[in-house]
Amino acid sequence: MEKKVSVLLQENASWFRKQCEGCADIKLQTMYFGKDSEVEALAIYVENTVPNLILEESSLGRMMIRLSQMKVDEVYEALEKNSLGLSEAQPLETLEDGMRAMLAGNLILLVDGFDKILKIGSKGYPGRSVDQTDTEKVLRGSNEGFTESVKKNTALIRKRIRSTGLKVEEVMAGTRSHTQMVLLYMDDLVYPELLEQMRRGLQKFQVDGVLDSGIVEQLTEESWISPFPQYQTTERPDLAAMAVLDGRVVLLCDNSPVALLLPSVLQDFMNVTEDRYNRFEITSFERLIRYGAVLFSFLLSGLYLAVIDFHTMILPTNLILSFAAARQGVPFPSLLEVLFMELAFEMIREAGIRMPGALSGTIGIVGGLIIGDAAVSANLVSPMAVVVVALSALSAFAIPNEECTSAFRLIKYGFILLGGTLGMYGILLGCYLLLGHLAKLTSFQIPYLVPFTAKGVAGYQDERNRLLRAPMRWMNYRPIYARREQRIRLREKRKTGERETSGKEENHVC
Amino acid sequence: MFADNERISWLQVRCQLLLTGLGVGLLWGIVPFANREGFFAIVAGTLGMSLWSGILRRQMTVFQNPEKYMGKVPAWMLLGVWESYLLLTGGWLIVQVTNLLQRYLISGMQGEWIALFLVLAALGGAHHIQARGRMAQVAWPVIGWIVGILLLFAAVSSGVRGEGIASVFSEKTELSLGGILNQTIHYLAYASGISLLMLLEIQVNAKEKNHGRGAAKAVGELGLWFFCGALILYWNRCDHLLDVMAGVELPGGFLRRVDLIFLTVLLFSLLFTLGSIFFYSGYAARRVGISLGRWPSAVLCFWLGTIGEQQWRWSNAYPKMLRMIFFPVFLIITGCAAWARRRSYEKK
Repeated sequence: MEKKVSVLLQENASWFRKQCEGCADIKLQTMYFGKDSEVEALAIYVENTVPNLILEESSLGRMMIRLSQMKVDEVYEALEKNSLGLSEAQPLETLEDGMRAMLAGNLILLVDGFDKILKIGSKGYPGRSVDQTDTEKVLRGSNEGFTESVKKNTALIRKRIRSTGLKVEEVMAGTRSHTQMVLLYMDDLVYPELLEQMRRGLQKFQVDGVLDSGIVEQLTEESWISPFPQYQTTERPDLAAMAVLDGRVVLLCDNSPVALLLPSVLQDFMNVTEDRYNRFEITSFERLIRYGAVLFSFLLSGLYLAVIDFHTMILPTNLILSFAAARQGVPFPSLLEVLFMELAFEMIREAGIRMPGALSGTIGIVGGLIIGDAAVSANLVSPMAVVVVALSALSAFAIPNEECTSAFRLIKYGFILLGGTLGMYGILLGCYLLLGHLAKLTSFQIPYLVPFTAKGVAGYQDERNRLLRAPMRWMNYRPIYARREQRIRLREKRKTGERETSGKEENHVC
Repeated sequence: MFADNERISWLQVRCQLLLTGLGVGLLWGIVPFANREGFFAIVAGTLGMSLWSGILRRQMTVFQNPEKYMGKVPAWMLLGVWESYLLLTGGWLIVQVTNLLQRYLISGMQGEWIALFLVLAALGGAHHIQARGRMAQVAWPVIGWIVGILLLFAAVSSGVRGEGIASVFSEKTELSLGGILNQTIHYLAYASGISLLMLLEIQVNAKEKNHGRGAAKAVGELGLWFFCGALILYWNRCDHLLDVMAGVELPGGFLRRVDLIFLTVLLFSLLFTLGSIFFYSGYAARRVGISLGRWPSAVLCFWLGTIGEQQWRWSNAYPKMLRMIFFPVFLIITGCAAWARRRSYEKK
């Protein structure tokens, strides 16, 4: 049961003082309003979230000055009617609401004789300004990236979709962190069942702190044991806006620059924002390269082992001879050799990420060139193994999504063991199990292998965006995420006697 | 939204049928039909199979709930026939695949281990109706294209080396109607597993318009694949398609042993077949209200394929069992189902 705000300031103030005991960063500042300073008030805020109150330039400062020049009756009237000229002032009924608002980075004002708390929006917690993202670089398209502020991130999406059809739903998570999360979606495009499932997922767990969207992701995924991500992540507002227009839901989490896009299928992890900005020929070609890279990233090392250990006769004679010559003098079995190289590469990668920016490049050079060369010279590994592992690593970098890359990187070790112990038979068993797993996987009931498995499904309209992308003017339909009656994304206007689209029709066209 | 309703599309039925039949058919099924009479038998057999699948399609309601239409005892007998067919086929497949793998891919390993890995992988694949459908829908185009291209290379290579297609027509051996009929019956017997098609078709969404055509199309397509395979075998005068593939040269000569690639690709189809056997063994039991799951059939198939085979060498008699027992029994079952369906309509 939440406690109502009392008209007596002392009662309210003692509650807040008790709650904030030992919190040196929370300031409780007594002040007086009215011409003769008859009305006592208490401003409560977290240090550094509110501009200096005495500065006349700030709106808060100006408000304080105005209140101190009014008569007593006028003070209460101004507070009641919110006639102080503040855009973000909101009266709150309970003390707990006031506490939450204050901890969210607002200033709250308690006035003696006034039975409400006035929440006054301010600059909030310190945070980074909008900057470009390092993880999803593009050659074409916006360079803006999400920040750690959920409000800024919401605004960045709203900037791209200036429609009231874009709904923003606030949810609180974390019993101690009280983290604000936001669900963004187009009201008429999204399936209500999807939203309901997401809301249920968020309410299913009671966790003390949600410090990043990754925690929400792991708690709400349908198949939590799978290494494959079931939510697409992005730091790009334009990709998030695109997802919203596709009928998907975007989940933003305060203090996290990473937005979650749901539902997500394997194809989403292979796409980049540029895929829609570039011409279809180059997009299709790049996408084929990416899918090829996926296969290489988890199959190449295992296939190499299968061929050199079990099926050397599959290769032309001169190639077998060069393989054999390259392995001459290497004391380890090829399985150990490849495993050693792969793990060494993982170490270099991990060190490169954790090292300060200026040193990470050096780690790459030292690890890749110097250690690699020395290992080959010392006959620890064969040059062919280095080439195979390097190619496999390079392929993994071509996968646009880091979570997806990690999943394929992980299963690569399974294929290495299978290829090294059972040859092609092992590789085949691995492929069968992998495909079986992917076929089973769903994200919010959408099969993970959609759109490759969507053909033949009742009501499915091909968006013409699979391995190859159709020309933009043929991509008339939204993906399967959008409601069936709102599937049309693009249509050509009539050349003569054309009427302006209106109302419901407008919603069909982006 | 997608619904988790245990329903699949007709396209997924088609892909499952093709993927299940391709490996077994190309590796073992077509061998007796690589002759002039055999070609006619494949064509006639395919027509017969399409007809049979059409008849079965009409009895779908009976197979959906056999206890209701046939009574408890006949339904249990039906389950017994289905289960024995699936177990024997699974065991036979394990024997054949193990032998093939020992000969071509991993010669140093014991057969039991190969069989164990095979069974475990088949169990580990998708074991949900919709997931199996999706798996087949994704895998079939890839498998189909690779096998098709390799067969094309084989055809081109044999065309260059041998006498080519003209030899089929120029041969002087006489065609006898009795021989063709005999071979057609053999073809139908080998493919009598089609009578289990109903277990697949009852999963299709009833609202699907192309419901019946999916299966008939798949039967036709399989016939075409087998015809091409038999033709290539015949041109090359080989006993096995893998022997033909061993002689195929790819343009550029970057791979020597095409037969290994061909076998690996078809092995995926065989693995899917084995997975289907385990899955449908449990699914068939559910028709009479028993929840068996996949494990009992997997264990029994493994036992039949390893210890059972070592003791009795029963797999040699499997083709004969198909001709003498399962084919006539399945025909009788189809007739009984038609009679049960008719009787239920008359009652109404």
